[in-house]
Amino acid sequence: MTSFQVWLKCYNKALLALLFILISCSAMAQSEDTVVLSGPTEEVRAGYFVVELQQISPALRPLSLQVSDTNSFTNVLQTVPIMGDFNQVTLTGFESGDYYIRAVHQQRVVSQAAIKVTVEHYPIWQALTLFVLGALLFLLLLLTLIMGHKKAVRHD
Amino acid sequence: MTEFALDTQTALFIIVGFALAWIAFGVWLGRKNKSHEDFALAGRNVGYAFAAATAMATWVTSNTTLVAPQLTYQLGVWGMVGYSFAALGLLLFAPMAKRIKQILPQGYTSGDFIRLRYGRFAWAVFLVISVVYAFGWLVSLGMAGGILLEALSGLDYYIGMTIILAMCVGYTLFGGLRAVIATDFIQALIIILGVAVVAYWLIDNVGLTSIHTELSHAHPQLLDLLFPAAVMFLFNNIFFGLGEIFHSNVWWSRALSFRKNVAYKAYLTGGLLWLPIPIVTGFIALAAPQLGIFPASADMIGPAVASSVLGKTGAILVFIVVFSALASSLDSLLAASSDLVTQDIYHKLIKKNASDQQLMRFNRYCILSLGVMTWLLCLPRVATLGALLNFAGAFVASTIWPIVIGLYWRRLQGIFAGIAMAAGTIVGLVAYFWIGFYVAALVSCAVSGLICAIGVVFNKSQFSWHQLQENEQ
Amino acid sequence: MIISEMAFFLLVTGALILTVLAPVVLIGLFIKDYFSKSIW
Repeated sequence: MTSFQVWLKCYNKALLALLFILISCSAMAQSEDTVVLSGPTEEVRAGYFVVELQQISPALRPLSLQVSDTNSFTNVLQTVPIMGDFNQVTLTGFESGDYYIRAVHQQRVVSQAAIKVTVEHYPIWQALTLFVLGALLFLLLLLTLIMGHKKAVRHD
Repeated sequence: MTEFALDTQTALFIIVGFALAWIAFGVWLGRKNKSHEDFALAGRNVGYAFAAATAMATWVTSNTTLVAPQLTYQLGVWGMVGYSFAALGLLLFAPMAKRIKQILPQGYTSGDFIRLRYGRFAWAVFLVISVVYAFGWLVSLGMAGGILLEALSGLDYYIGMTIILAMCVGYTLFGGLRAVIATDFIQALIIILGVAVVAYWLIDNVGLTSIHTELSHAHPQLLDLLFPAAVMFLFNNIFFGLGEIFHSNVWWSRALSFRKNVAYKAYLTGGLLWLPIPIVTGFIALAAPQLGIFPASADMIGPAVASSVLGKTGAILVFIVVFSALASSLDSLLAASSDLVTQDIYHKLIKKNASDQQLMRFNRYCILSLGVMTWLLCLPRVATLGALLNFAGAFVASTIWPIVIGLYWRRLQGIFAGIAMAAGTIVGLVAYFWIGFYVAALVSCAVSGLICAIGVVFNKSQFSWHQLQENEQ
Repeated sequence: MIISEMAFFLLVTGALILTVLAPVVLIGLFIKDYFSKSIW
């Protein structure tokens, strides 16, 4: 490696570090009283999902999430307290539909924007097809085992 | 600053206390071990009580205390009922255990059977499957130990993980399978009483009606009997469990260590005793929304509910239960895996004329090395290693048919059994990544079964059962 | 199709009763083995 290449590598590293510090500073300034939420980007297929919270300042604890089926939050379905100082929470038991989630601290909305999560369960025919196939295979195994056992007992 | 359910000092005091007690117990039990057979198979004379307890306790892994609540939190009522169907593994293994004892009276391991019944090719495939599964399980247990003890008490991950591994290696090293089985008996009692106390407290203080009402109002899917993902998961989970038990030397070495005529009823009793436990541990998770507990990750739900409802006493109880559950599986896996290496690799490949004392010494080195390797793999705390167990279903389910057919019928040849296990595993893995986790074991078992069926139909030669008696020579 | 409250009650309490029976069975078997000297 030539000395120019080494210099260029160091320069790039320094530039990246500077950029990172700048981004962090601006994020910190922004995050004093707001929280950034992120949830699953694709459709949720089993009714449970994880919501991550970024840039939570200690002043915003205790923190809760509100879940609603409308973007205006007129009907709040659930209020979910965030445990300890964890930065994520697992929500569960949702039926198919669109859900909106925002963060709340002492009844004040503190998330920059509400996130939308779409739950779309697997079609029931697909589930039942797999169930029946599994049941048939299991039955076959059970019969094989019983036949084998009886044969072994006979020969005993 | 996070508030832990239990203060670090108490946690450290409990686990060091337990570790010393279990190791002393192991040393005390180990004084009876005169031969390798004593050490590896507890003298082949384990009675009904210990046999039933060890079958049950080993299957009550950290999974039953952690994954059953996790699955219930995610998949609701079907999650806990479906998980309890894993008892079928123990129940269906009962007649097989009897057969194993009958056709391999002097056998040591599941690998022994595959090698003698199917030859080198199938044996090599089988060993790969066993190693992937055993390491996946060992590492996930070691890591779960460290992570859980840290989550419950703030005890440093490395300290918790190291103590639990050192303890299990310690008493298995001194006491062999006898220590593993005796500690399993006590650990089983601790686990059952612990989960029963938590569940009873919830029923008494929160009430089943209010839990049902809260769930049907805010989390209806959890009570839905036609929850699609849960319905899909059911049989896949059963085949995963069957594959785990049918292939793993943990269960074979137990069958071989039990007294004559005990194996069948011990596995049956163990299975029946185990059946309701996941429903009780799973139920704990269903009470969480009513209590306002929403975990950061779903696998924390059991300990989170227990320690929040029972306060410090609950935290200590959970700590001891989880610690016991982890230990009862870790020790079994250490003992069974080192038997597999000693018997199948050292004795059959490297030193065929090894003396009894050499085998016992090598077995001890193996336990120690496995412990050290597990510790090294747990050190980087890479979640993906623990996740190895997630797709182990594709591996283990491929062994179901070759083992069942191989135990009872003479018409399946080694080449078909080997291809069945390899193809089942590969197609199962493809299904895992292309379709989803809920089909991996199912597809693997189906493909392997199909190849075995072809093998049985097209094969005309018959296996002679006498070929299994190699060990008596 | 939501599980009825009665079925939920029976499922959970039934499982709890069976779970509590397990240590009784295990200790009973142990005592039997102990007196017939067939623990190991």
